[in-house]
Amino acid sequence: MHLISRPYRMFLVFNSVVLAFLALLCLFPIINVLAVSFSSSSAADAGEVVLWPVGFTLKSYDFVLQGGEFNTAFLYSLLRVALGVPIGAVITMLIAYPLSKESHAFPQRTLYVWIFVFTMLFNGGLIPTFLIIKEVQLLNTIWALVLPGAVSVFNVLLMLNFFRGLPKELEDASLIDGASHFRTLWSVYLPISLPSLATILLFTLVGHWNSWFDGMIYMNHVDKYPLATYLQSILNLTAIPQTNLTLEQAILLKSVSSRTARAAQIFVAAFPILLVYPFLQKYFVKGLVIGSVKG
Amino acid sequence: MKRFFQNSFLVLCTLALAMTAACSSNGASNANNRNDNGASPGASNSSDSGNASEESDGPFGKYDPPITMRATMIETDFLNEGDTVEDNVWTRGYSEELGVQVKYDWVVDGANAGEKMNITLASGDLPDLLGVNQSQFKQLLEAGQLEDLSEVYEKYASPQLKEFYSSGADGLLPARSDDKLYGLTYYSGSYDTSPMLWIRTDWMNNLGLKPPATMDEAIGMIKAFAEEDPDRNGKDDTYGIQLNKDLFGGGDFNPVGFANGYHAYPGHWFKDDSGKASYGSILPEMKTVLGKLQEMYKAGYIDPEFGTKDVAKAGETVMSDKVGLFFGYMTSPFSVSGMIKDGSTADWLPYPIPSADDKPALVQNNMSFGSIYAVRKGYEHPEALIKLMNFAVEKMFGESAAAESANYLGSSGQGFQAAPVRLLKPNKNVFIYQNVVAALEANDPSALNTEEKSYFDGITKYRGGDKSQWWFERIFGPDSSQKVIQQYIDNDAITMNEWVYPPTDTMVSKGGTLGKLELETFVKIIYGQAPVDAFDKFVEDWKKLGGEKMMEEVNQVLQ
Repeated sequence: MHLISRPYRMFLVFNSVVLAFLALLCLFPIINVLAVSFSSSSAADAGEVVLWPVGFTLKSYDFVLQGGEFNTAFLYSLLRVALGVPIGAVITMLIAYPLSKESHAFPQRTLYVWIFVFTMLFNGGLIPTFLIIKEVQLLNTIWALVLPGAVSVFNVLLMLNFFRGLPKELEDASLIDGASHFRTLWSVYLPISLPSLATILLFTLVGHWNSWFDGMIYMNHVDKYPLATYLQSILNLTAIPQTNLTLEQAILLKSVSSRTARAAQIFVAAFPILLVYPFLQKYFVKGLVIGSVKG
Repeated sequence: MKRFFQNSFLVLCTLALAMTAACSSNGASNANNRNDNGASPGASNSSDSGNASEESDGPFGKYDPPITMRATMIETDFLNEGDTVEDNVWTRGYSEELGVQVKYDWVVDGANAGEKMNITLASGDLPDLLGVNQSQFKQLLEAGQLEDLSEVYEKYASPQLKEFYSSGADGLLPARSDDKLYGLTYYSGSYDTSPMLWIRTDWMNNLGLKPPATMDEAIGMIKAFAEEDPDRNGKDDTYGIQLNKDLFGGGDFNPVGFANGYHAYPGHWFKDDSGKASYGSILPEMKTVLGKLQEMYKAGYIDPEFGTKDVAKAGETVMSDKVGLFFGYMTSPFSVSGMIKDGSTADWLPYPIPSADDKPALVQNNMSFGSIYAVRKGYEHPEALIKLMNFAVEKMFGESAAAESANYLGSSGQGFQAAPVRLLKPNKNVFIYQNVVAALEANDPSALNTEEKSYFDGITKYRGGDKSQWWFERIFGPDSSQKVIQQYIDNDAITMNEWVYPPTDTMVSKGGTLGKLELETFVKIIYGQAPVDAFDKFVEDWKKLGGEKMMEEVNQVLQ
């Protein structure tokens, strides 16, 4: 410890303070939402709640658990994740594996990579994409949320680079033993790629859970809104510029759930994702490859 | 496992193929759309009923065999027990009594409906019945996608519907173009847009003040609320008046009523004595208003953070017992109802806008309408829209209302929100106020209609001690915002915004910039960051940056 120089120690202190501050900055909104969700609605309406619940009550959670539309949306989001994540992961692996081969093994490799990267930089735009989804009859089905984003080029590149970092001898050994490419991918590459696979799963999962825009434009009924779209719509409803409300609009706004109930919904919606992180943590381990090749 | 991968690869290839195929077929159908000039592929849906329908004449004539009408809908909770958005008392009524089967292409919530409609319009597959906003209406009209309704309206509109649309002003004006009618509006009159003064009466009584009769007295009251500890807690923690960050463009807590007290009409287009239309925000009266607001801000009467608060945030400040007065509308009780609760003595009362001089103050009104309902060009039964509207008006306000309106409006009195086309009696709220007050005096609700009865019940509950029903009392009770509106009507104290049309070309291209310039300048002046004389510079800039052109266009239309 005494080897650490004074300026370096000062840097450490400074660094910890800044990072701690940033961490607090990220934490604050979550704690605030949590506190609001446990507060009485009059305290929340008066803006008295900051970090600790005022007038503690569980009423909002009661409301959330009863709320029909919230539950439908929650289940629909689960379905979306259950379909979207495996499909996304399988397709990513299947694309990344061949593209990770050297050019002499797969001559058009560079061309294909560029085709994929091109879609990362350019896309058809909102309306043409909508028209395609409509014409292939995906509109108003779960597949409209799953298929258009199934190939994430970013994930493919991530996986591809991970595969390229693996020792070539593994593949050679597997092929010499008579395994096909599918077998090599499944039995050799996959088990040692768990860290990057976990990363991809997490990215896809969070992506599917949080995306709301596609739900809004592709779904024709509120029953088929995924959770993020449902939340966006109720939060947005209360943010309409309130110029000259008519009586009917005002009554409509009043019938929308209160601020505390919305806070509870936000929290319940974010909770599953918060839970996933610790479970995936154990896969983020380095050095699985170490010792796989000798000599 | 090998089999599995091979299979999934196959699936992938098929998918990729399907995608490409879809792209080309899509291009073809687009071209089709263009060729047959707007008749969208959806027309085939309803053509089965084609010529078969006899001329079913009269405003309520029934189609036999029934026709199908594709429409879109906004999700609503105001449904009768067991009903759904797709199958409810309205849709059954249409099909049983009119022979019109309404089918919804999509049902989304109100927040996303505008965006969803934009995408639908862009995709080219239009529903038969188009519930659109003003700019979407203009876009459709210019693209020649709308059916001319002038004749069918004359022929099929029921006398009551015509009466509703001519109540106060021409309620169909926004849907007219070149002397032709292209849609029906959700016209709700104009009285409910009148600004008014809201005062916290418990504070007023604490300080022994009287409701202000002039603007100077109002400012005196604001001063007293800011400085004399109106809540009697021994701390200097109150402001006199709350504003919101959008100033004259915002909802509650805006200074529009304040400006009206000085005969200024921000954001309004109206003809002056010379018959030329001008814009209220650039007239000299506005300068006086900004000067007064600047003085009040300097003296600490205004919440100093108003520039960052939207209506909801401003409402939070008011509800945390910090503010004693604001300018709002007849719906303002909704913005502060959270503070009316057991254990609090807080109460608010509305008052008419006082005048700064001996000329009586006029309050500015907008013609208020929500959606415009139009019919896709090429739809075989454009008169069906008129019939649906006849039906709505008849069931809620016509001869059959006495027996049937309870069913159509439901226990909430808001059941009309489940109908794809809506029209309420324009300016109905002030009549409701008269009836409700008469019923309260007589203690006899038997003569009230469904909606009136629901407000009557709310007031009775509030008087019985249920403070969550407070807003009924303050909107429809004897001392309420509708009473203030009644006073405006009796005293002829209303001036109308004469611009009810879709935005002109310059408004579309320059309106945003000009609005921003206006808001920024006004906030700066109130904050004291710019002198009041900066207003003159603003007027010059405003005219130069497109305002002059805008005024020309407006004058052309209004002549």
